[in-house]
Formats: sequence, structure tokens, C-alpha cells
Amino acid sequence: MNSFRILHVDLTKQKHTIRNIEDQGHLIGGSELAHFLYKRYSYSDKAWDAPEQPLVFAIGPLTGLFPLMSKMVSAFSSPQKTYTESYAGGRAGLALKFTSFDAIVITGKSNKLSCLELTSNGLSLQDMTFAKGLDPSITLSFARKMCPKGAGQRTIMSIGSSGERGSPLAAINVDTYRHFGRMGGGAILGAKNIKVLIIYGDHALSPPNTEQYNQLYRDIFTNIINSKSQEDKMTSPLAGLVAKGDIHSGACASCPIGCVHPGFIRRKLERCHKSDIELGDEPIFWLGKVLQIKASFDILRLLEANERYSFDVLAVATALYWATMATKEGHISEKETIYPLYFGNAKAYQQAISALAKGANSFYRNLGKGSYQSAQIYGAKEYACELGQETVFLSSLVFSTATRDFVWTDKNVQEIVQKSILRQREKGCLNSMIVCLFGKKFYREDVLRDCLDAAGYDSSFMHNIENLQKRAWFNGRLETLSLSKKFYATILPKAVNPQKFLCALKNEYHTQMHSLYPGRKKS
Amino acid sequence: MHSICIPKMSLSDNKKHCIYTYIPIKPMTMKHLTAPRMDLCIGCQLCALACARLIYNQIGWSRSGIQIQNAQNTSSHSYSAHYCLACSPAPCFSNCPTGALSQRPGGGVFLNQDLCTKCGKCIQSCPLGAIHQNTEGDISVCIHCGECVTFCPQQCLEMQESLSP
Repeated sequence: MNSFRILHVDLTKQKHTIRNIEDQGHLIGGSELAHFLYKRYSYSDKAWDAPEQPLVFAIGPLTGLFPLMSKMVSAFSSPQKTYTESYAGGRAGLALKFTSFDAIVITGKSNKLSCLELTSNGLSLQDMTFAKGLDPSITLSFARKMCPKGAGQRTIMSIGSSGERGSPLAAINVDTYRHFGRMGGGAILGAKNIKVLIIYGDHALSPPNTEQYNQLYRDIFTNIINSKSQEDKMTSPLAGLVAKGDIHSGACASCPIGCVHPGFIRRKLERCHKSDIELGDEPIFWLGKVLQIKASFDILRLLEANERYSFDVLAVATALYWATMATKEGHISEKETIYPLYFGNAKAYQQAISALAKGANSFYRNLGKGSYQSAQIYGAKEYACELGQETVFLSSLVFSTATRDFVWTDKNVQEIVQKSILRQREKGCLNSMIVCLFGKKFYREDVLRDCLDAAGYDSSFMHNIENLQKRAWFNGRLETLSLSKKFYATILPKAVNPQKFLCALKNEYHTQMHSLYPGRKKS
Repeated sequence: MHSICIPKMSLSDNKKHCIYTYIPIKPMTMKHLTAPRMDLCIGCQLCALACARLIYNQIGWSRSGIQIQNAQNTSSHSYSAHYCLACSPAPCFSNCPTGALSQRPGGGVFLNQDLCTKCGKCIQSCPLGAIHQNTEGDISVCIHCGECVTFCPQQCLEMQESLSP
């Protein structure tokens, strides 16, 4: 029987309760537990930012027990009114594990901007109204003074002004170098009036089967260290800077890889100004390829600007892409955008990010709700994109098709979708354990079974994975989603007709998923 | 030839038991833990987790002889290691009222948990803050076994020959 220890914090009543959930069929923690708790505490008839709506943080059954099992999942109702799961690493997963809780559910709303601290000894809520509008790096320096215990082992999550304003583009900054990025996690924390969330656990747990566990740990660790992942981290676009020693690598807790995602560049960006900037392939790709920023330090400046207001880089880049294309096609002008937005103009984009955070005019206030919402008002819908769960799946379908895996023709759509569904299943398997996706080649299904055995869990978790895929399918709205033209322009071969291609993919995906999990009507 | 306690390295052993297994060895061959390349540290905490897992038979960074912390409690992403620097004679050994700590040849101490009353006097006497106590009062101290060195992916840690006593 698997049991889970849950902490429920009610910010309105300033009370907390501890609950044990025992054996919910094949529930084994991770994203499945997060979804279970979300369903139990959420209200479908209330708005996403209603105080009663829950924000759930959960860890996997193997978090902290094996290398690369370092992530945490957050589940919430997004500003786009959909159920959302977002993942982040840093020290968050292990910090929660060592508080001896498997999940935290936060409901209610604090009566003033606050810092919520959870330690093994209890909870505290401290006033943080003085930090309103401050960026995460300054906020964190205050938070460290307010809660000095556990340097290097606690996790500190914070939001910037974007989260306080409830922007769907807002991210939750975790330990300064990781983020709950997509779908507006920052806005959810802002809606609860929580500026900073600190988790510090100093409990020690007993491994259930020492011999088997220690041997398995050593085998997995050796595999990771001997693998090429150590070299893979150098293949990032920033490999040149890494080679020159300009980048200081970091790692999530319990990760021996030290990928370039938590890389820190600390150097003079402006006059007498030094800054730590989190790096990552995806944000750099997004800024470089989508906004066509060529100079590496321009990219770093934009990353820093996003970091200052705690924005999700991908969401902001998507919004700015739409604004640039809408300007180019005459739907809007400099009267709305204030700054001359054109591709490659890093300075204007930097100023636009600042305007977005402050809500400088009605245009930026609308843009802060996302490009999709702005396109409903100003036009240029074909360039708008809502970043969500299925958008990511759809774009990964397009991306894998256009790059290394397949050559698209009318005849092999079935094969493309089949392989992508299998991959979605594999990814779901890793996500339900909340493994870093760098670990996908080390944690195959058989290894995961051994790990669960060693940790004393019921390893018949395939049912769990099916649930995950089924849930995504039944809650999904793939048919109504569209991809921005930029997706096609960037990665599809010119010979391919984008609309026909997307339509064929969607239809085939619907057919195959319907045969796997019947009962859902086409919307 | 002296008779002292050292931990065995075999994974099949019960570590809690092995911490105070007495085995005869030559003091001249003793090594102690050093952290000469902390500038390469990425803060993965695998050394602390290895110590807790293999020496104290626990999972958690609070039950470890080595603690990795952010330097100066900032977000500067440079880390410092807090562990026993192998004093000889060790002040913690002198101040231990129950004999739970014994002087280790080559510097540092060994811990016999059965004799420890969790009084915390060793913590007060350590000038480096290298002895750690968790919320349950359990004492953790580096016994210079070198397990953490094996699990450091950045080679920040190293075992060095101790000077002969």
C-alpha cells in the first residue's frame, strides 16, 4: 500500500493541516498525485485566480532517492482556464522530500504580500509588502535575511512584478536558476499574495532495502558519469563561452550532470553592472531564432530583463513575435508599441519587456494576457500562439517531423503520429516519476521498476502512465489549437504545405487516440 | 600497530554497525578528506547524500559529515564545504563526556553512536562548525572514509595522506 503525506495550507484562515492519503488504486505520487490533489481541492465553477483555487506542489516517489530525481511538479488552474502541470528543478524537489511531505496544497489568499516559510518544524507567514514590485534577485536577498537557515539546502521560490500583476506570462523563479515557466505559475502565486515561498527540510529518511538500493544507486550514478551526457552539456549554443570559462555551471540537487541550463554568466553587461543570468537552450533558441537576435550579449540582456520581472522567456518571446509581425503587417503601430519593434532590435525588445511588466499602456496590458488574447483585439491571429500543454505536443510533432526523425509526406502521417504517441507515453512515464528529462536514457522502464522496488513501492505503474496519457487526451482541446506561422517558417521544409500538414497531423492524432481511449467527442 | 575503528567500504555491510567495527591498521597509511577544488563545485549535494546513505544509513543531507552551503549565504553560486579538517588532537574528542568520539590516527575523530547522548558539547568545541546535528539531535561528523570523493562528479574533493602522528 502506498501512502502519501500531504500538507494543506489555508492562507485565508492562516491554518494548516496534515493529511495522509492511503492507496488510491495505483496512485504512486508525482504528477498523478498532483492531479489527484488538484481535482480534490479545485472548483470548476470558480475563476482561476479565486482564492479557493489550489496551487499544488508535489514530488515523485523516487525524488531524492536516485540521481537526477530532482524535480518538482506544480499543478494549478492556469489563466487560460486549463488544468496545468509545470516542472522545475533546483533544490525544490529534495527540499520538499526532506520535510517528509509528498505534496503541499496551498489554498486561500494571504491578506498582504507575504513570505511563506515551510521547515521541518512548522510554517511561518511573514509580511513582505515592502518587496512589492521588486525583482526576484533583490527579493531573495531580503528573504535570506528573514529566514537564514539552510543556505545551500533550502529552496526559495519567488515572483516578480509580472506575477503580482497576474500576468499569464509570469513565471515562478526557483533558486534563481530554475523556473516554473509555462502557463502563468507566477500569476497563481501572485493571486495568493505570496511573494516568496521557502522550503527547508532537514529530516533524514531510512532507505527500505539498503543493499539493493545502494548497489542500484551506484550503478545508475556510474552510468550517468560514464555516459556522454557530461559532454552533451557542451553542445549548447553557448559552448564557446563555456570553453572560454565565462560560464560557471550549476546543478540541481542530486544531479551529477550539471547541464548548461543552470549556467551562470557573471560579467559586466552595462556600466559597472554585474549580473547572474540563468542560461538555457530553449530561451536562447526562442530569442535568437524567433526574435532574430544575433549578438550573444543582446540575448543575455534580454534574458536578464525577463529575469528581472520574472517572466517566462518563451511566453514573452511569443508575445513579442506576434507584436512585431502585427506591426509589420500594419495592424498596430508605434503609437501602441511605443518602441520600434522589428526583428533583431534588441534594445526595443528590452524596453518592451519593461513596458510589459509595468503595463505601460492598454496595448501592453493586453499583451500581458498573451499573444492569443491580443490577437483577438488587434488582429494578426495567424502569428499568435498560446503556449500550453498540447501546443507543446503539437509543436514537438511538427519539430520532430521537420528535423531528424521523419521526412513528411502524405503517406507517413500515421507513422509520425504513432511514434509521437509512444514518445509522449515515455515522457509521461518519466514525468510521473518527475525525473529530469536529461535522465531519459538512464531511466528506462526496467530501471524504473527496479528503482521503485528498491524504494519499496508497488512497481506496477504502467496503469499510472496510461492514466496520464488518458487524462491529457480527455482534458485536451487539440482541435481548437493552432500553431503560429513561425513554427512552420522556422522548421518545416519549404515544399510542405503547413495548413494541410497540421490538419493531417491533428486528424491522425485524434483517430489514434480515440482508438486507444474511446469516449471523447471531437470538439 | 594500533587498533582503531574504521568503516568498511563493502556495500553489503550495515554501515551503522561498521562505523564502530574495530580493525587493526597501520596509522601511517591514514588519509583525510580535503576539498581543494571547490571553485568547480556545482552544488549538486551528491557528496552529502553519499555520506548520509553509506555511512549513516539515511537519506537526507542533514545526516552527513560534509555539508555544502552557498558561500556567504548568497546566490553567488559559489559553494563552500563544511567538514572535519582532521585536527590532531581534536578538541571535540577532548570535550566529549561519554567517549562517543575517539581520536583518529592522522587527525579527526571516529564516532560511536551507541555512546552518544546528543549533548552537543562536541559541536560547541569545534572551531570550524564541522560537526552537524539534525532536528532529532543526531550527530554527524566526517570520518574521512572517502565515500563522498567517489560521488563528486566535479572532482572537487580529494583524499590526502595524513601526516604521521
